[in-house]
Parts: sequence; C-alpha cells; structure tokens
Amino acid sequence: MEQARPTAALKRMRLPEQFAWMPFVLPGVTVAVLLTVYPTYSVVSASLFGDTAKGNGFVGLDNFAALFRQPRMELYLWNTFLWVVITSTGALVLGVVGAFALEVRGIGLRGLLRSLLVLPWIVPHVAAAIVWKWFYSSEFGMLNHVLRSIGIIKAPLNWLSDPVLALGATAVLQIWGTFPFVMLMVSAGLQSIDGSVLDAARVDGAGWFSEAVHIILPALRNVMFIIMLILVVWALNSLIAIWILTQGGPAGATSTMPIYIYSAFRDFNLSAASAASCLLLAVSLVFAGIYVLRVTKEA
Amino acid sequence: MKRQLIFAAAALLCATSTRAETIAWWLPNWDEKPARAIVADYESANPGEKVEIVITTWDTMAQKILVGLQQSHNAPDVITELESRTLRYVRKSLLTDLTDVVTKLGKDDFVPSALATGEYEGRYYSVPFRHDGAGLYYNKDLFTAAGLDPEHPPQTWAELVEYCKKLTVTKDGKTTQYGIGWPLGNVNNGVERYLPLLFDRGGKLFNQDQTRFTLETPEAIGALDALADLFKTGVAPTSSLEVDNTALRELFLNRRIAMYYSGPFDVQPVLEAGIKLGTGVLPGVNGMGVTTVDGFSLIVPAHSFKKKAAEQFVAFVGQPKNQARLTATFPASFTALKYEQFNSPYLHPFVVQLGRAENMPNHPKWNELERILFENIQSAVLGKKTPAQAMTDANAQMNGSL
Repeated sequence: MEQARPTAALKRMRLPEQFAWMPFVLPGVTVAVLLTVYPTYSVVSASLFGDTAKGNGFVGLDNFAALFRQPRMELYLWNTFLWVVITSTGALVLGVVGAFALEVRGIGLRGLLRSLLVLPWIVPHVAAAIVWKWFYSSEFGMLNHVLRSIGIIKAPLNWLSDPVLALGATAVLQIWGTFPFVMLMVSAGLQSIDGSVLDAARVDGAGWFSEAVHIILPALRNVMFIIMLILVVWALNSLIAIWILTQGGPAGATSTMPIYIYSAFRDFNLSAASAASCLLLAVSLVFAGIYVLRVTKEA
Repeated sequence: MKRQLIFAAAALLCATSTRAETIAWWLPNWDEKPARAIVADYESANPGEKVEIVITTWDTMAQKILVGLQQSHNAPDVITELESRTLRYVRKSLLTDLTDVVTKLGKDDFVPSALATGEYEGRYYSVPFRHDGAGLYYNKDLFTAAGLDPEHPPQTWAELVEYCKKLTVTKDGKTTQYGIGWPLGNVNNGVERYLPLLFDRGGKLFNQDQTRFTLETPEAIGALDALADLFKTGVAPTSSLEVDNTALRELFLNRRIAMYYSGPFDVQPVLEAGIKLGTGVLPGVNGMGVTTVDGFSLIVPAHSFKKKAAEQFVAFVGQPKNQARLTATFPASFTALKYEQFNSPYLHPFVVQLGRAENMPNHPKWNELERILFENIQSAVLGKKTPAQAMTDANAQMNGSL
C-alpha cells in the first residue's frame, strides 16, 4: 500500500501525452521570447513616445513623420539600398565561385583550402574591421603599396576618404566576412546533386559551363534564394564594418540606416532610433516572412 | 543551536554592512591610476569612508552616465564627466547643487570658463578639475630642413599658410610630407578644430538664446574656406578625413605632417617618440587665435543616497593639489596652474592660449547637430560643395533639426 501511493501520485503529476513535449521545448522558447518579444515591444513602444511639452508622452506616428522630414533621410535610404545590393550580390557571387572552385577535380588539400576560406567568417568582426582600416589607409596601407608596386595605380587612392570609393571599400569588408557562409551553404547544396545526372550530361558532350548553367545552378535555385534572403537581412542590420572604417563618412557617403540608428542611440535620441529601427524591422520582416514561407513550403 | 547560528550570522552581516560608508565614483580609464592614489589618501584621512571606483571609457561614457543619472535606485555617487555635457543634465534636474563645495574650495581660485560650464541660474552643479584647450605642435627638424626658424612658429593664419607651403614636400609627383593635418575623420575632433577658426573670425554658432544657428555668415564661410583651402592647395593631406586626434598624432610622429593642433596631453607621447618638438599658440587672423576649451568635472547625481559623503569626497578631490594629480592636462585651479609641472617650456603656450578661449557648445541636441556640421565641413574639404553652400546647408539642416 505504501509503495502504490507514490506511484499513483506520480501518475497524477505526469502530463497528458499530447503535452509531453512541453518541458523540453518551453525553457528554450521562453528565453527566445524574452530576448526577442520584449525588446521588440520596447522598441515599438519607444517609437510611439517622444518629447512633448508635458514630458515623454504618446505622440503616435509623429516620430516616423519626423524621420522622413530629416534632410538627409533620402541619402540614408539610398545608401542602404546600395549597400544591400552590393554586399548581398558580392557575397553570393564570391561564395558560389568559391564553392565551385573547391569542387574542381584534382584540387589538392581541399580540406585546408576550405578551412582557410572559412576564416573570414570566424574572425571577430571588430578586429577584422580595424585591420582592414589600416589596410586601406592612404598613408600607410598595404593595399596602395601593393597596387602601386605592380603598376595598377600610380598614386595612392583614398579608399576611405574618397566619397566615390568609400562605400565600395567598406562593402568589400562585408563581402569578405559573409561569403564563407554562402560558400558552405552552396557546397552543401552541391553535395545533394545527383552525380548520375552530371555524368549523363558529360556523356552527351556538355562542358563545365553547360553543366553549371543547365544543371547545377537550377538545382541550387532554392538554396541560393534562401542564402540571398539571409544576406539581405544581414546587410540591413550591418553596422560594424561601416562604423569602424568610416563612421558613415566621408560627407555621408557611407551613412546607412543602421548608422543613423546607432548615431541616434548614442545621442540618446531614443524616439528617433526606435522609429528608424521599426522601419528597418518592417523591411527585414518582409524578407524574413518570405524565407519562412519558403522553408515551410519545402518542409 | 541552528537559530543561534543564524542570529549570529545576521548580526555579523549588519555590523559589517554599516561600518563603512561606501560611495561609488565613476571615472574614465585614463584617470584610473592617479584616482586610486587619491582615493587611498582620502580613505586614510577619513577612516570609515570607502570609495569604490567604476571605470568608464570615452566611447560609452556619455550614454552610461545619462542612464546612471536617471536611475532612482543604484545611481552612482560621484561621476567624472565632460564639462560641456554638464548643463544638459542640470536642465533635466539630474544633478546635485554643489555651490557650497565650490564656495568652500574658493570660487575665485577656479578658472572662470571652467566654472561656467556647471553654472546655472547662479548656482554651481559641478566642480571642474581639468580644463584645457589646444595649441600648435610642430616638428623643429622639419622646420629647419624647410629653411624656417625652428624657434619661431607661425603667429598668424597667413604665416601658417606660408609655412605649410614650404613644409610640403613633393617628389616624383608624390607628396611625402604635408604642412599640416586635421582630424576630419572623427565628428567631435573635426568640429572641435573648425570652431576655433569660426570664433577667431568673430563668428558665432547660435543666436543669444541658442534657438537658431547662425552659420550662414561671412565669418563662418570664411573659416571653412580657410580650412578647405589648405586641402585645395595640397598642403594638408586628404587622409585627414580618415583620422581622429590619435591617428593624426601618428601622422605627426611618422613625419607625414609637420604641424597639427592638439591638447597638452600629446606633449609627453610626442617627446617619448623622439620628435624635436616645438609648441606654440594657435595662429589667428590677427595674432593669437582662439581655442575651444573643455575638460572634466565632478558631478553628484540628484538620485544619490549618499550626497553628504559624496560632497565631502568632491571637496577633497577639488583641492588644488589633488586637481594637479588627477588632471591629464591642466587643472581648473589657478593655484594648481602655478605648480612647476604645468609650466614647462612645452606647456607654457597652452597656458597663454587659455587667455583667448571659448567653451565648447552645450546645446542639449549638440551631439546630433554637430554631425550635420561635420558632414558639411567634409563636403567642403572634399570639394563636393563650396564653403558657402556647405554652411548654407549646414545652417538650414541644423535649424530644421531644432
């Protein structure tokens, strides 16, 4: 009788079968919700409040309207658009080329090469940006020295202080840091292609270019679509490369929305920073939504 | 037995927690070493009083301090903060009135421009301990090589331009040495170097009550034109747009530039690098130019629970001898300024320069507004806009943001 009572009590405590997953999933979900839902709520809430005559009151959409009245908002938005296009496309192209290069037959030390190519993704972003800043320096930088030595340029270029070059130069850093992710994803995608299809194509006389265009790239279409979405969201949120290299200069040439948000936050203009963050969140959510729909559809 | 042990532990805890009054002092990392020595002296002289040091850094201190001041619980008790930010906190009623402390230390002993940074409606809300401006740094060896007198730095702006032309060395189409450099890669540093040119020409940033900017004036345009001209004529490097004050000093140490403006804190590092250094006052249109001044003060948050202890500590640190220990440049006390350590031949021009000084702006939205000014300065220097267009745009954009 003494032994039967604890067993019955335990049975009463046990969750019904359909809720057995809860103890395993809930802790992680709770943390994720606390780390995303609450901060998002705070930002959205802050975007709806601002300085009024009576203090920090509800202002509705005034902060958003003020955002678009900013004299340089057009510049920030245009630079953000350019930044997203250049860095996403650049990382995608370089990553695909890298993945293809690693699959070339006869290539030695493939594992070592792959590890070296992944290094930019592993190196801490701030440390990498500081090194690149010196690399680009028009006074002491190795890049100008090398280019002049091999005769590509005659005079040092002002990579970070020339408004024409600065955005591209900072984009190179972002591409350098993100292409390994693309390369790994594409490499994984390449492994899933049925080898017999490629063999059949070769038997039919298809060269490497035809294989790539007619077989491999179409097979990787879904993977590359998802990679592109991720790259776009990363680009929309990237701050470190630009902040360390140029702080948004020269003369606003590299000022993007994340730079505006960070600057507003540093100025303790939380209303403006929150409104701009909500705007960026809305754009990112569109891409994230497409990604989720696509992944769900594939599942 | 168990209850007795618990009671004993609780009694011990209460006893230890009430024995010493501990105040928290937030200060920047470069002050840590002298601060710890001052704290040790204070604690020896005041048994029962403890000071806990919390380190801040330049990049994060503004935000950290503003958040700390607004906390009703867990606010620090004493904070080292930039003089030019003090009045923003006073306007939001975030600081304790320290008029009694200033009176006790002797109001007349403080440099007036330093004390003014914490004055509001006749009361004082900060105790300054560091106050300095800029001066001219030049390389005497490069002067000699260019045929210039190494003991005669430029005294006027026209002389500066003339010297720059002689000091700029170009060989095989490549300029290996420039006359002067500017920290136009950093917002704060860049604007800090433009404002003296504006003030020297009689220009003003805003109107009397700081409700409108007044940069669309011949003085403001003339100041920017003078700066942009140095780049146009090739005597200042375009790489100036990549550097802040620290990186600019590196250009000087590497003999890429022969002159630059900086505060007295650069004297020691430059001497240690083996440069034959000369210092001078800033060259203005008609003689000595104007410097902007700024520095650091001690403030006590309005939410501090230990105001009495905090004020006592601030009064200790505010003494001339302790100001002299804590400051990385010059103290804000006339008594301390007479100490030998502040009167070396290298530092003397900086002291003289304080005779023509203007405080950095303390407008509540200055951080946001100076970025607009900075971008337009960069545009003019790069030749993207004329100085007149740059100042017109800056004025319109800054007034639009108010």
